[in-house]
Amino acid sequence: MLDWILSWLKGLFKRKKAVSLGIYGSPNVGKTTLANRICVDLADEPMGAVSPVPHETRRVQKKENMTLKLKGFTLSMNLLDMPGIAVKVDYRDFLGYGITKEDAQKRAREATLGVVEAVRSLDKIDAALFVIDATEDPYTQINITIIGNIEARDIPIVVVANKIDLPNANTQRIKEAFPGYEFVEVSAMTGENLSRLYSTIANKLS
Amino acid sequence: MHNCSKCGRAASSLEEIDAGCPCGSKVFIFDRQIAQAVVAEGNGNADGADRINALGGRADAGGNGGAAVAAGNGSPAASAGAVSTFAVPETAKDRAQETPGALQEGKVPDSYFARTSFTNDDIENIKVLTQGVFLLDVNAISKNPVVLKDEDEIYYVKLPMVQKKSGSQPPAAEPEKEKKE
Repeated sequence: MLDWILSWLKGLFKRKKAVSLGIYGSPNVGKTTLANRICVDLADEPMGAVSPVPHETRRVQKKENMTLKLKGFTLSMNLLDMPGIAVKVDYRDFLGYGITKEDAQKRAREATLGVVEAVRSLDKIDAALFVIDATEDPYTQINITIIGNIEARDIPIVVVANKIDLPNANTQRIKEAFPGYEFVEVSAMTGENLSRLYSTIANKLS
Repeated sequence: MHNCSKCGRAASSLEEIDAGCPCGSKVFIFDRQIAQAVVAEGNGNADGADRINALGGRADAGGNGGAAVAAGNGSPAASAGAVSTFAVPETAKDRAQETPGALQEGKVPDSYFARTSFTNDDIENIKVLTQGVFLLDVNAISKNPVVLKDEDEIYYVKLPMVQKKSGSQPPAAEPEKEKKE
């Protein structure tokens, strides 16, 4: 009986603390689009700018104290939109977008700093959404390494297959690549299936 | 200045460090005092040149806290500092931009110091000075993912190996009773 009371009290205190939910993934998989969608749904305002140019998000963006209410479940959370994780940042990749060489080199430097910040933030999050572009091959070094790192830290993780609104999206291969993980397919752009994502987050963190 | 750890002879070129000392040793020790004097001279400190002369050497590159590693032909020729008595070959870009022979005349261009040292603004912890020559920021490598910046200013990040959250306890062994079930 005493154990039950202690467990109940522990759960109560746990719920009062805001959960830090990190959004991870490679560049241009739709992390910020998803973060914006969640922020608009839960706090009526977007989080950051999106762009077709890779590494638009180069610092960790944070939206604090948002409340997810779902069928009697209430979760207070801080959402952290991470810079895209890459193993190579080449300023020449930005030149095709009309960016000058000087600005491209500055962007590459900031993007690399963002990767370091995102990796270091693994120690600060309580749960993670790992976003994968459903139109791309999921078997990448970044996906495997970062999911492995999150898993090794005992951090609850939901694999999010994004961009299902695109005709060449293939969520099945993501499921096959990362079996055993909570898996949700969404379109952050259109908002499709976001309610399923929210209920998965609620189930995972309740 | 890099001196042979066995006979004390000063290395006269990068190639000599690559190939090893004539005495047979492949280990060269870096003289930090001269390095600091060169940095002081490069920063416009008049004492720098005097200190270099007093220390008995002429150095052509500067560094602060880094470690230059020369790697060639698979040999482990290495040193524990960022400064050397030889001129590290310049990149093609630098050759075009800087006065030819500046290093030989004893003038160290600013870009040379930027390339051969680490500052607080640097996000990389490994620099490729030129092919086969690296500068390591050992302190930063121990705290952050390995970030390498090559001659073309392209960054490479080595993602960390899978590891338990720092400070976390290893999972407790299952109780004997549960194992039997």
